[in-house]
Amino acid sequence: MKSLIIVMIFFSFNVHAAMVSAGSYVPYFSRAQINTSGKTKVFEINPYIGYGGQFHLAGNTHFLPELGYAYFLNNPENLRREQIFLHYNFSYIISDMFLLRYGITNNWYRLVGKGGSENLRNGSGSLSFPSPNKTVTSYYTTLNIGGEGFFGTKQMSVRFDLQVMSFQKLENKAYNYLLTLNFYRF
Amino acid sequence: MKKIIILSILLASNVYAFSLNPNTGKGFDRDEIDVYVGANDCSAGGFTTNKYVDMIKNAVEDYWNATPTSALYLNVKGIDSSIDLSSDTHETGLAKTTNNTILAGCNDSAQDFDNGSTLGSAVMSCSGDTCKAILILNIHSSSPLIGKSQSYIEAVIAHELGHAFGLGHSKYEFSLMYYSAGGKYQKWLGQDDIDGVTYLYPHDSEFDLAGLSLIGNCGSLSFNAHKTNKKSFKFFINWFLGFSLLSALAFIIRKVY
Repeated sequence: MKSLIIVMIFFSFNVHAAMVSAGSYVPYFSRAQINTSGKTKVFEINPYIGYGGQFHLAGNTHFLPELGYAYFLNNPENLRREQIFLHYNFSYIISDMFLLRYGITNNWYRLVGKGGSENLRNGSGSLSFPSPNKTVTSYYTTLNIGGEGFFGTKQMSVRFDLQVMSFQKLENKAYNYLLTLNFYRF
Repeated sequence: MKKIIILSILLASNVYAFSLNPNTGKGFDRDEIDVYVGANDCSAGGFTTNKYVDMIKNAVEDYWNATPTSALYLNVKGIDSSIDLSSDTHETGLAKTTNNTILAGCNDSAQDFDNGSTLGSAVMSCSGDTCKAILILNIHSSSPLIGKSQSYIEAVIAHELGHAFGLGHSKYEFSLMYYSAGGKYQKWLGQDDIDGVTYLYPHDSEFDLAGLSLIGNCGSLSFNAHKTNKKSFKFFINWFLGFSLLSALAFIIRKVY
C-alpha cells in the first residue's frame, strides 16, 4: 500500500528523466570524533547507489524522488551497518549547468548485530562485554539542501546533498552529506 | 585505480564497534529516562550538588541527547532531597533507586570502587522489563577527579551515563565509552558511541518526523514517545504528515508557476 501511494504520487507528474547515482555517504559530518585531540569526521567512503526520476512540476521546478542504499565499509566483525534512503527532493534550475536541490529524506539506518562478546579494558583489568546480537532499524527524517552541477552532454552531473538532522533544536543539529556522480537518461 | 583502492583502504581503517553493559546486555525499555541526583554534599570533589546537576545537564545535552539517529532522551529532573548516597555502596545505593530511573551521586568513602584511580562507576540492573541504574563519582581526596576541569568531569559523567543506560566499553581511544578518559580531549561522541545509543534506543516508527518537530521525543509538541506506547498511532500520523507535506509542497509549486 505504501509503495502504491508513492508510485501514484510519482507518476501523477510528467516524467522527464530517469537517474542513476553513485557516490559516498558521510553521516555525522563534523559531529563524530575521530581522534583523541577532538578532531571530527570530514569525509568517509561509504558506497552509495541510488535510482530515481526527474518529474517536471512547473517552470524551472522538478520533483526528484530517489531510492538509495549506502553500505558502510568500516564495519567491525560483530556488526554490519547499512542505510536505505527515500529522498523527496525538489530542484530549481538556476542555469543550464546548475540546479538547486531541497527536500526531505526518510532514512532507515540498520544495525545488524552478530552477537558474541569482546574482552575490553575495564579499570585496572579487563572484562567480557556482550556485543550487539540483533537487527535494529532506526527511522528518521532529514531536511535536505544541496546543489547539482552538470557537465559534458548534460547527462552527467555531480551533486552534493547536505542532510540536516534534528533541525528543530539548533544547538543539537547534526549533518550528513551525500556526494554523488549522476547519470541521466532523458 | 590503485591510488583509489589504497585511499579507500586508508579511509576505511577506522573500524567502529560498541559493546553492551555486561550486567544487562540491553537498555531500558523506554526512550525517555529520568535522571535524579542524590542530595548529599559533593564539595569534596570541588563542586556543589547544584553544580553537579548542571554538569549532568551539560553532559546529557552535549553528548547523548544530541544524537538524532537515537530516540533516547535523558531527562535530568534535579536533586532528590530524600536520597543520601554518602555512605552507600553501589548495591545499597541501587536499592534506593526508583525503577526506570537513573540515580546519580558522589561518594568520598571510595569503598566501592575498584581502585583509587577510578573516576566513577555505574551499575545497571534489570528485572524483566524494568531497569534502574546508579552512577557514583569518586570524590575521595585521592580521586583523580579532584582538580579536573568542568568539561573533563562532564565527559566522565557522560561516560558513566552511557553505562547506566546500557552501553559497555569501546576499544577505541577516541570514543567516549573508552575505558579511560586520560590523555585525550573528548569533545564529541565517536561513531561507535552513536551507533551504540542508536542500537539501544532507535527511532522505532517509520517516517518519524522528529526532525520536523511535529512528532518525536524531543519536539515541543511531542507526546509519550516510549517504545511500547501508541506505536501504531505514531506510525499512521507520521505517514499522514509526510504525504500531506509533500502534497502541499507540490500544490504550492504548481500554483506559483
